[in-house]
Formats: sequence, C-alpha cells, structure tokens
Amino acid sequence: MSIVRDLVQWTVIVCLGYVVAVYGAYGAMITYSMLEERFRRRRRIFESLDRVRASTLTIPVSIIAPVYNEAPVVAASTRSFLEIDYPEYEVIVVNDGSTDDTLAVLLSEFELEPIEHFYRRRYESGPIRGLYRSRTHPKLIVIDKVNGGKADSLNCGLNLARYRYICGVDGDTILSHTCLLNGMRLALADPQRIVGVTGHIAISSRPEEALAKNGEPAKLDSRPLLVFQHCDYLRSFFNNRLGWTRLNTMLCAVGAFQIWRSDVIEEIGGFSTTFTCEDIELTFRVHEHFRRQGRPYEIVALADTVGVTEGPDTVRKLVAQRERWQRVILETVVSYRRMMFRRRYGTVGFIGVPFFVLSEVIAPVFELLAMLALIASVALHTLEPEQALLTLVALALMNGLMTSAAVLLEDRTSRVYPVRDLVRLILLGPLDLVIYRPFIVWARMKGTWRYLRGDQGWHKFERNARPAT
Amino acid sequence: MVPTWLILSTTIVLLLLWLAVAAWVVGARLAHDRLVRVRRRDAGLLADGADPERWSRRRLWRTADGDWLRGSAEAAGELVSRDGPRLRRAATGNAHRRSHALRVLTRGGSTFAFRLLRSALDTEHAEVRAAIVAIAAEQQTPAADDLLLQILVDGSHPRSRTATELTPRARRLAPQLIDLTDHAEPEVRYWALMLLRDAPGKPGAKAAAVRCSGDPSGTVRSAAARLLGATRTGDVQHILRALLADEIFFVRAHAARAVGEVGAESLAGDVAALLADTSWWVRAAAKETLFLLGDSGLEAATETLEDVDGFARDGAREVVSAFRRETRPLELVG
Repeated sequence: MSIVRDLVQWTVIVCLGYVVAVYGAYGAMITYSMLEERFRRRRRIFESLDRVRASTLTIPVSIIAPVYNEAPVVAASTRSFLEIDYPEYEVIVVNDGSTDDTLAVLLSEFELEPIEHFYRRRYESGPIRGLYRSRTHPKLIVIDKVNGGKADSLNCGLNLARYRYICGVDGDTILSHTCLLNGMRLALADPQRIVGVTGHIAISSRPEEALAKNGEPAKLDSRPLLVFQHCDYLRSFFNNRLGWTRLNTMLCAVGAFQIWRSDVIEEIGGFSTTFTCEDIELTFRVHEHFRRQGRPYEIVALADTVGVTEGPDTVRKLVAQRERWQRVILETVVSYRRMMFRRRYGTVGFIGVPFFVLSEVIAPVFELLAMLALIASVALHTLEPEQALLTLVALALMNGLMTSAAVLLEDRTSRVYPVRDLVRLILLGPLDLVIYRPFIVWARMKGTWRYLRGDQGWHKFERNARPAT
Repeated sequence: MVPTWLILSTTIVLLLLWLAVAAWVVGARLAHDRLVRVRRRDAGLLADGADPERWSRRRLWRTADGDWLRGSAEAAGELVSRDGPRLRRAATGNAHRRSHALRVLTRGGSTFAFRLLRSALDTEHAEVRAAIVAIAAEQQTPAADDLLLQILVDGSHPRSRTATELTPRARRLAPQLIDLTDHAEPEVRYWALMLLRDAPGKPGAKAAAVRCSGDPSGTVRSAAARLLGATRTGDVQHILRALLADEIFFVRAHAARAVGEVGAESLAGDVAALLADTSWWVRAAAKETLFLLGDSGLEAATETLEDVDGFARDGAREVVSAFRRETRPLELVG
C-alpha cells in the first residue's frame, strides 16, 4: 500500500511540476504578447487604412478557398470573400470533389460559366474537372477537381493564382471586410522580410450570421460550447501567437486565414499532401527553410479578428475535430524534431518547438495523469478532499486568468464585442476547466492514440444544422 | 503533502488577480467607449464654432489627439498657443509621448512642428518613424510633401509605406519625383517611377520613363515599363519593343501589359511571341494583352495556333477561345 501511496505522491509532484512549468511558459508568452500588442496598438494609432485602400501601390492578393461538402455555407462564405474591401484581389474557390450540392450552389448563386484557361502546373494536384468564371463577379474563379484533400486543393489553386501574395482560407469561414487591408498592412510594412501573416478567427455555430452590417464580427454565439471554443481560440491566438510573433517563432499560421508570399511557397514546394493538415506543417517548413539558410524573414500574427468560422456545435463533433488537431501537431513536431535545441534554428528551436511540446504534445498525458492522481490522492488520504477541491479551484482560476488576459488583448485591439459579451467570456473562463477541458483531454488522448496507430484521416465533422429555408 | 494554507493562499491570490484583470477589461472598455463619445462631441462643438480658450487642457488634448476629426485642428491650435514650450519638450521625450506631442504640434500649426518631425527621424523607435510619416501625411502642405519625400529617399521608414502615403500627392510632386528618377539608389528610382504612374501626363514623366527603360536595374526598368503603359500614348512603341525582349522576366511581363495599356497594335506579333516565353508571368501577361488589343491581338493569336511550341499553342487557343471563337479543350501542357 505504501508503494502505491508513494507512487501517487510522486505522480502528484511531477504533475505539479508540469503545471508550474506550463503555466510559467504561458505567463512568459502572455508577457511577450502584451508587449507585441502594445507595440502594434501604438503604431496603429497613427496608421490609416484609408490610404492603404486608396493606394495604387497596394499589392494584389489571390484568395484560395478549398471547399469540400460545404453546401450550407459556401454561398455565404464566397460572398464574404467577394465583399472584402481591398483594391485588387481575386477569389479562387476550389471544389475538392464535393459529394453534396456545393458545386451546384456555386453554379447557380454566382452564375458560373465554364471557361478554358491555360495555367501553369507548378505544383502537383489532382485532375481538374472544370474551370468556371462568374458572369456577375469578375474576381471569382471556381475550380472543380477530383477529391485530393485540402493541401492538394490549395496547390491546385496556387497553379491558377496570379498575384504575388496568396491568402489560404477555409471554405466555411466568413471573412471580415477589412481582413486583407489589415493583413497586407503588416506585410507592406516590410514586404521583403514578412513572408507570412495570420489572423485570429472567431467561432460561431452559424458564421454567416455573425458579422455586423459593417462586415466586422459583432456577436458571440449563444451556445456555451461555442463560447468555450471561442475562449480557447482567443487564448491560443492572443496569449500565444502574438508572443510568438514578438519572438519570431510563429508556429502555426492558421489554415482559416494564412497570407503567404507566393514566391516563398514556390521555393519550398507548395503545401504538403503527406500530412493530415497543411497549415502547421507549412509554417514549420518555412521556419526550417529560412533558418537553415540563415535568411531574414518573419511570420507575423495580426492582432485583429479577421473572420468567423464554423465551430462544432456538439461534443462528438468537437472531439472529432480536436483529435485531428492533436494528430496534426504530433505528426509535425515529430517530423521536425531536429529543430529542437539546435542553434541554427534560433528562437524556433529553443523556445517555439519546446513550448509546443510542453503545451500541446505531452499535455494530454499530464492532464490525464493529474486527474487520476488527484482522485487517487483523495482515495488514499494523501490529500484531503478540501485540499483537492481548493487545488481544482486554483487551477480553474488560473484558466480564468488566462482567458481574461486573452479577452483583454483582443478587446484592446478590436473593440468589436459589446461589454456584456466580454463579461460572459470572463465568467466562463474558470468554468472551462471542469466543463470544457475534459472533452479536450479526451480528444487529445484519442488523437495521440490514433497518431500512434498511423491514422491520417481528416474525419471532417458534419455541418451544423441550419433551419430550412 | 502540500499544506492547506499554501493552497488556500494561492487560490485567494489567483482569485484576486482574476478579478483585477476582469475589472481591467471591463473598465478599459467602458473608458474607451466614453472617450470616443466625448471626443466626437467635443470635436463637433469646436467645428461649430465653440471657443476652445475656456476648455481645460485635458479636454483639448483628447480632442486634438487621436483620429482626425473636424475640430481637431482648433483644439490642437489652442494647445499649441497655450502650452507650446511644454509640447516641444514632450516632442523630444520618450517614444510614445513624443509621437502624440508631434501630432498635436503639427495639427496645431506650430512653427516648430516640421523641424521637430525631422529631428525625430533619427530615433531608433520604428513606431515613432511610422508616426512621423502618418502625421506628415495628414498635412497637405509643401513642408509635409518635402518631409515625406525626404523619408522616401533616406529609407528611414519602409519605402512601400511612405510611397503609399505619397500616392495622393503624386500629381503635385511630379517635378520632384522626376528628379528622383535620376537618384543614385535604384530603389528610389523605382519608387519615383511607380508614383509617377499617378501623374503620367505631367511634363517630363514620359521622358523619365524612356530614360529609365535603359536602367541597369531590372526593377527600375519594370517600373519604367509600367509608367510607359500608364502614359497611354502610342509613341513609345520602340521602347516597349526593346523591353519585350528584356533579359529579366518581370520586365518582359510589365512591358507586355504596357503594350495592352497603350493599345500598341503594331506590337501584337511581338506580344504573341511571348506566349512561348519560359516564364508563366510573361505568358499570362501576353495573353491578357492580346485580348486587350482586340482584332490585332486575335489575329496574332490565331497565327500562333500552329506554333511549334506547346505553351504558345495553348496560350493562343486560350486567347482565341476568350474571343468566343474556340471551344476545343486545351492540352494544358504547362
């Protein structure tokens, strides 16, 4: 019995050490994020989007949106791409062999007509079945191709993209009107150095209803599960990505909004189809490429909410999504493990990847261990029930603190949500640990298990139900 | 294992911290919303003729600083006349205060403003230099024009950003920009030519483009091609013909587009030859231009339909199909 007690005690101590390490890392990253946010805010006070908007020198952008079975939302998302406030851009929607009415919706909604277009095949991609241009929206091109996955569709879109910058987006994402102005304003600050830009995406069960008339995100979803996800996105973006930007160690330009200089994508051979998901791997590859060659570069995060994407509205769908994310993280980190603690990879090798390992890769193991150890400690009387409860409350408050810091950073930049929504986010912060986190732990465990089994499926969650129209 | 008092005190500290950050979020937001409301109201009052002399410094400051509103200049002017020396001291102080003081001084029409802005360019803080560009860009005065041009030339702020601010005043600054097309630094020559695209009809602009079409730098030649296109005059065809055969692909691409812009139908054959170019960018530009050239473009494309080069054949067929006269599927050899 004493061996078991010792084991439980040691497990608690190890988990406590992990908690201190991980929250210490988060705390440091929040500090960097706050510095970056302050720098951006001070600079932004003096910047005018109007002049960027009016300038003939603003660099054009090709938006590439892969869509697969997005019939309920594809018309709204494509319309949002076409309503972006930017001097010159094109929209390339790639229908990746959808088995639902996605193409039919696009055909009728945007009056598409088939065209013949001679394009370069810089990147390998699945065969194209048809190319269409809209009669009503000259900026829009639709590619209908055989199913090959998101990376394959992005590569296919790249083959047709005409401009120097490309912006990869998700087909279920509704972009805000100013997303490109904000994103390219950063890229324009130093086009030779800034090779990639990403931005924060808000979450909603129906993103097509989440923008205000001015084209900016305006309201939180009413369902708690979506609000918890929103908090999660806020934390991962504002607490981490802004700090990563400051340290030039951005580890994931999110797939829902990733601007890249197309010559950089060409240099590194396009999006990889051998990984389950393309965004995080591409970001790692860009770091690896530039750091190995010792060339100056930056991948930066916008401190703005650039759009709203559809979040799973049931626990089952959420688990399916998050287990995929865990697999993707594991695949990428294992594949680029050589970057860890190598001098040539600088902050990415010494801070970025270890931070990722600490907070994402080994997190599910410690989260599960901590839960089991806490229960076992109470059962074996090495910890009093009130002590266990207090520990839980302390951890919940720590989570609440992280959420509040993210809300603060977000609101200081965008000021889009009403005060009551801010209060709601803050109040839900501490509850995250007991209501939302267990599902995430489960999803991460499942993802780790599936990774170990070599699963590379996408397991796309079903679209959220919408009222019939 | 861990004493209860330690867990309890940690929990209490965390609770207090959480409450403090929550109060910060809500308080900062309410204060911001109020500031926006009050600023707008006060600026409106000043624009409608209210007397700023009776206003407090704080009220004047919040109206003078921030986004440009009708009434901001009146508030800034009053602050400058009331607090000039103090503002000038602040304008040489730390980075953040410095930018704001410079803005108020400039908006208030202080005679020292542009001298202070120039001296602030030496700062190591990038955000101050960005602020200086934005502050100068608000002013439509010769002093502001000169400062922005100086910043463009010395490159103390990313030139692309400075050029963006200069775009609306390119017509007014055409003589200075034409002078800059002779500058020793290629990047300056490039940006001068790019800005001149907004003033292509100004005397000397076309001559500058012609001169720069033989520049040693490829980027400058490409900008010259773009400016030649913007002039939309037919007497530059011999220059464009030479640029269509340039060794650098993006010069050829821009030259091809320029042919379309000036409507140089006699160059349709030269452009059609670019359908076999090794660079996709050049081929794409050639296709667009052939379409723009109308009948002569169609004729040149039709002649290329039987070309030995696969790229040229497919490109020509695409052009022809764009004229709605060809519907066969493409080979897609690219």
